[in-house]
Amino acid sequence: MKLPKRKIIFDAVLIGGLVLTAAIPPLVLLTRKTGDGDLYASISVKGEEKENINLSKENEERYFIVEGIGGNLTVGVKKDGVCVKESDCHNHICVHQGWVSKANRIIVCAPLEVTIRLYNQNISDVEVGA
Amino acid sequence: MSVRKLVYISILSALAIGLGLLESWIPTVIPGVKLGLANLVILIAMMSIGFWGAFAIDMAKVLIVSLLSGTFGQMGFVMSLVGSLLSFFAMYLITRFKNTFSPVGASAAGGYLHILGQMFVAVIYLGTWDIFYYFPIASLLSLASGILMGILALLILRNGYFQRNVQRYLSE
Repeated sequence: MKLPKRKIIFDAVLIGGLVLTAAIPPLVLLTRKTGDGDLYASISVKGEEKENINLSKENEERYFIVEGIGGNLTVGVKKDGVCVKESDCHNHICVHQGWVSKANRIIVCAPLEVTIRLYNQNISDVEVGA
Repeated sequence: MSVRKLVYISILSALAIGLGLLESWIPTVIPGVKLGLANLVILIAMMSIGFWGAFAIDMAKVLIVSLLSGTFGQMGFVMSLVGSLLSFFAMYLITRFKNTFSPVGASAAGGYLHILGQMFVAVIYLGTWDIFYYFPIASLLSLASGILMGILALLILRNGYFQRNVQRYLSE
């Protein structure tokens, strides 16, 4: 079946527009200030902060358990980063992400509803908590 | 509603539920991003029996797949429900412009809106907008799967043969 040229053009314009808009959200997020203070890791379960760790004070790599919704994660912290070593979730996307070490970056475990966000201390709470 | 229409809706619902379940067992690269095989059934239903029949199939798929896969009432269910609703209305709106867009455009927009809806639910549940860092890769994968399903729908619906047969079956 041959599609009319008009439909191909309009489909292409629609899909092209959607592709362009896909880049907007991360660009907006990346414009946030990162600051240059101590690096913190904020660990939240279902939007509620459970741990707030100053990574700059972590002299040795260590691991601990975080209780998510319906399962646990083993989170690793070290001086310049955070990772999820093990997770009870089914897809392990959070584990495959490895060590994250830049401010304004996150690790999300959607099945267990856990987020780990890195931020610099000298950014105000309003900006960080957005 | 005639018995034949009920039978047709039931058959397509069973097909959508079966495909939805099959997909829920396949591991995904990004949460919420799937091939959208069930969406193909919804699109075909929309173009053969109209809004309400397709809507019934869509909602039956969301509810029964979540009940059978054990995610009913959880975040995954709400993500699926909101994503499916947004996707459905986007596809319906675009299929209204039959002379402007093909099923490929409708399906692609449906895939995109599906992941957008899921992201907003994730923002509410997880309490952070940072989930949108995943949006470019998630939306591009959804667009690609939407285009693929649109091409399949186009092949099934080509020349109006499928719709004519459905109409003949429903009117007998």
